[in-house]
Amino acid sequence: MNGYLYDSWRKYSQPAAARDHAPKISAAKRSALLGCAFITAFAGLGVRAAYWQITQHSYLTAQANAEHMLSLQIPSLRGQILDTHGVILALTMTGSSIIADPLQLQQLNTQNNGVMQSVAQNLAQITGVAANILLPQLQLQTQYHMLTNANGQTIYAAGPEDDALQTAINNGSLPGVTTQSAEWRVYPSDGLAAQLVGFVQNGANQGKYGIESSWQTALAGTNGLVYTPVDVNGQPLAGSHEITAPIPGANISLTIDANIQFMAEQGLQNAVTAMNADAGTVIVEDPSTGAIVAMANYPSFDPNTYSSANISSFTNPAVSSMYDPGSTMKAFTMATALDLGAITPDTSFNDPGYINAGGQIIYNWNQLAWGTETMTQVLEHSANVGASWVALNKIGQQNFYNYLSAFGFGSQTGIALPDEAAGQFPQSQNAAQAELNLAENSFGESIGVTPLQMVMGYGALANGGLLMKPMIVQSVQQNGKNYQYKPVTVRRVISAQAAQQITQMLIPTGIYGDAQTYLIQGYAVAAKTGTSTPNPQDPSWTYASVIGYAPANHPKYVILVKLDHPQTNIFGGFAAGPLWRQLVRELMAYANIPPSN
Amino acid sequence: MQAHTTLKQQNTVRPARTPIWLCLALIAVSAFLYVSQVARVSSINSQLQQQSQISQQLLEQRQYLQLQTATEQSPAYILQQAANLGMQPGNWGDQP
Repeated sequence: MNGYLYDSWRKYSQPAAARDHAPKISAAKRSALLGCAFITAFAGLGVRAAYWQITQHSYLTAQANAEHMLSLQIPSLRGQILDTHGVILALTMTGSSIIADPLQLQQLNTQNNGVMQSVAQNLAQITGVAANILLPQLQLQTQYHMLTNANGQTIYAAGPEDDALQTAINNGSLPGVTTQSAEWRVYPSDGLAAQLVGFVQNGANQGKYGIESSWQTALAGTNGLVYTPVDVNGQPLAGSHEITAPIPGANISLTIDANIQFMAEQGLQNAVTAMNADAGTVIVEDPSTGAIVAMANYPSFDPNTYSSANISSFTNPAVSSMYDPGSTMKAFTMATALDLGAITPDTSFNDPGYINAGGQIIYNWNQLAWGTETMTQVLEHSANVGASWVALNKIGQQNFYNYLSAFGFGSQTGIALPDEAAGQFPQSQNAAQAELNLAENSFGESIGVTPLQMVMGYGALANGGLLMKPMIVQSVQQNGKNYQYKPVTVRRVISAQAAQQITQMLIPTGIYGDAQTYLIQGYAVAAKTGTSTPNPQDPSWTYASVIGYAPANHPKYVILVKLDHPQTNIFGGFAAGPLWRQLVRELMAYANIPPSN
Repeated sequence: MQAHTTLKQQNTVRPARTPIWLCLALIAVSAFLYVSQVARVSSINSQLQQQSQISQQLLEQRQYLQLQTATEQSPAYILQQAANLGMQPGNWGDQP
């Protein structure tokens, strides 16, 4: 529009009165105003766009993705648990569970009598579960039913069984039957080291008790993720998927030797039965490394059928139960006095058959007076009076408990297992009570220890005075890497010389005491028996045990056998001794250790 | 007036047309490329699924074999098999 036309338009577009008096605004000014208006409008839009695109970006993206994206978990495969030689103690299987549609089968059965029996027979042939267990399940008045075995456990099919099942379904031999992919945990050794290994709860990758629980994070691995677009019905679409691959769980190799574990479990079951005991524990340890070679308890359970087991059998008494160790404690009393230089093995003492401790009279277990005897003979006789005399007159309260703590009593050993007890030894401010406690503790009464603490303590005696941390996991394998655990020395408790002296004292103690180690032909062993009577009202209610190491001069194994409340014979040497000697013979042969004498 | 007519005539001169066969050819080539690409993707997807299934089967077979090995390595199984062969455990008890 040229200047003439514009002026004319402006002139006649205004009311006649205003035409001549309206202020004239220049074209440049009007353009500037219009430009400002546009800039302001666009700036506003820009700010709003920035608000949605930047500030609200995460929220809006999440909202949008929630509508058309779906994230699916890819479960990771749980790792295996193996013994020291690679024998699998626990593994996860992948395959199928079997689902029947009883209503459909019943309908088919009305059309063709005998279909249901035929399906039950075919399933029995494939799964090995009896047809008479399956048939009632096919007759249920329900639409879908997951088939179970005689113990009420889900029937799983893997490998050739799974293949046969799929073939039978595809060729129509199993109408009304389908499968669902499944993962389940199997313990192939039928409950070997059950309390040590633990179990995995059905339908959840969650370990319960034992290694399955304490190593849950490593065993479980990390689930993967598929992030995929979905259609309006929520079904995944073909196309671009974001996939984060699952990281399989680690395989965990234990220090346990399945063969020794089996020897221990078999022997323990027989001993508990023969001695009519309530329960029992066996631990075998390598004293030079602290490696636990076997850890057996009875009664135990089969983790494959944990749902039908007694819940009280799930815990591991070897690490979580306390007991009064009885005379097996005397070895620590003597070792302490030897390390302090307060006695020698030949220090003599007159045993009148009793001793006054804090105003109370303590007698020997057999009420006998041994007269003059050496410290070695105090152990051979398992004399309570002699042990009390050493503790009261040669060690003293502070030294005694300091050494007990140094041997690891009163605190957890730090083994990689759940629910470990710390044990306890009472200390009283009352002088008389403290003196009585000291005397009683010196021969293993009124003190609470765990079987594992006793084994580690004897391990220190066998290992030249060095206390080792108990090892239960030898190595962890994940992503092609092998993490090897090394033995850990906790501390030196006594000198090597004191350790040598106590070992030499325990050899005749085993031979002449109730442990009757002379029956182990060809091997010198260091051993001590223990019979504790924690219930003063019932002296026949005992913990009977034998603990020691073999061969005495170059110890390969520390062995503890403990029976709870045996009735056939209540004394440690007679109740637990036969199994202890049997295990020494078996272990010496198994480890190819030749006889030394 | 004559000049105006000349301008109008100049404005109505049509540009040279793209031959229709070239458009069709381009569409055909594009369609061919698209279809062959989709077919290839689909084929690779199918192969991937097959490989995934095979991988899963192999995993299951490996697990099954491991289970068999573990079962046959277990001391209880060995003891049972030895007993079936007529062997007996040695006497590890105290010798009188």
